[in-house]
Amino acid sequence: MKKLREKIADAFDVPKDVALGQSKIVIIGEQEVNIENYHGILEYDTSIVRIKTADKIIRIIGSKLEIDTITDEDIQIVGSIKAVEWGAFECLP
Amino acid sequence: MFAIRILNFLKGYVIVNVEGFFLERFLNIAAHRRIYLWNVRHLGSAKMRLSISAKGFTQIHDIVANTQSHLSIAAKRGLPFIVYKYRRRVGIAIGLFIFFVMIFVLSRFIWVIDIEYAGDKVPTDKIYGELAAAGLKTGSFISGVGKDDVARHLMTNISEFSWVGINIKGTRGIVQIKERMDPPQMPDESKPCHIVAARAGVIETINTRLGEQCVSRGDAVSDGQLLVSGIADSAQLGVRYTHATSEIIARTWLESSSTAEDFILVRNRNGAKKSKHIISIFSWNIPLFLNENVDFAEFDRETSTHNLRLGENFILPFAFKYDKFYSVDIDKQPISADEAIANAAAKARADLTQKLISGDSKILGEEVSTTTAPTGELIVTVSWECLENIGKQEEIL
Repeated sequence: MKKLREKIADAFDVPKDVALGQSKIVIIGEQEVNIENYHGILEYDTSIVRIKTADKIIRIIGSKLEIDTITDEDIQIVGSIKAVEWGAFECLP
Repeated sequence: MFAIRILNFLKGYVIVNVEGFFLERFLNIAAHRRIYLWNVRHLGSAKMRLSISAKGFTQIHDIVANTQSHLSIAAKRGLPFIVYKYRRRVGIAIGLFIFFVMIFVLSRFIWVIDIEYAGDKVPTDKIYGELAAAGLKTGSFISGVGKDDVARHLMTNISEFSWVGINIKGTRGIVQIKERMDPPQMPDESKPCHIVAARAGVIETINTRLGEQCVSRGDAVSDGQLLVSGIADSAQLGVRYTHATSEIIARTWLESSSTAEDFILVRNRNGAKKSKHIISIFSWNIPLFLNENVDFAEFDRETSTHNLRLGENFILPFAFKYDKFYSVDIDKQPISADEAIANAAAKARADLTQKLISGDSKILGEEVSTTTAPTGELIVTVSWECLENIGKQEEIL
């Protein structure tokens, strides 16, 4: 089912994040991560930020992490970023 | 996002510290309610500092209570706070208002008129006079000036102008003028006339189109001598009067002398100077000096005007002018004999150029000679041999 939707999206050249409800993550250098279309913040600390998106959790590991901007759809995180990881649903600590 | 931040400065924003154990929830709820937050920074395990719009600040109190957090204001920034601080200072507001009103009002008038006029037949005073009569002068209201009417007025009243274009840019009025080019004069072929010599010379070529030729190539003619006659007398047709037409090129000699002076006058500024400063508002000149008369015998005068302007075209009617007067000594600087002779020769040549019949005259050769007058001065004489058209029409009366 998902494959079919993906194929239709490709055929009509609709951007995938709009068609499939996925998040768009833009990483600029080692300093900035923009996540569009997120669902919520799970954890926020200066060295770890966990963001929930449609079906995955994105973990951003680094130091001196700050949230630059936060709206109801996008979130922008700046700081010295060491890693950006995806994981499945985890239990909240 | 950046534009939104500028907007937030104008609307006012607050920097707050939030303390509690459920900070992420706080962020989620605030974001979900579309309250814009930025610069969120962790200050320890249970504390964070963030910036929030002033309007948003009024909406987060229930979220704060919900998440069992504590809110404290660290700083208030933005235009509304500044205005509140100065709310008693009415003078500033009034001054600002008057400033903007003045700028607005003053830019509705014309303060400078530029005339782009490449010719010299009409003196600029006359042009300004006509423009003023038509309604375009310094201080006239821009909306009251009908560009086409003024242009038409100028073209009708000054016949030398063939086209006038008027443009108003900012507070500058630009008048473009093109002169009328006279059509070439067609020679009047109705009046009968002779052709006489304008100057003495020896005839090189003579081409007669109409008339009786009286001289031929190689003849020496004197000033005023009849060259081509307009009266034709023949046995068959009787006396006929024609408009003699002929091109006569002759070799002529011209001469001019001038005295060689062994010095030239040089203006040397000798250091003494006086300056007078004036502030000019609209047309009133307010002098900023005590009345000293400039008592130098000879002086150079430099005048500068600085107009107050906002950019190239918005010139306001406030100006700062100053005149500087430099006292000048006129000294006689001695020059060498060769320089003196060269100067005198140049003067003589200028005189000869004036004497030439027309611009078409060709100069074949030049001779420069010097003689000493009985008074001891040196006289420099320049002689030219030229080819000139010496035909001159003279009416038969």
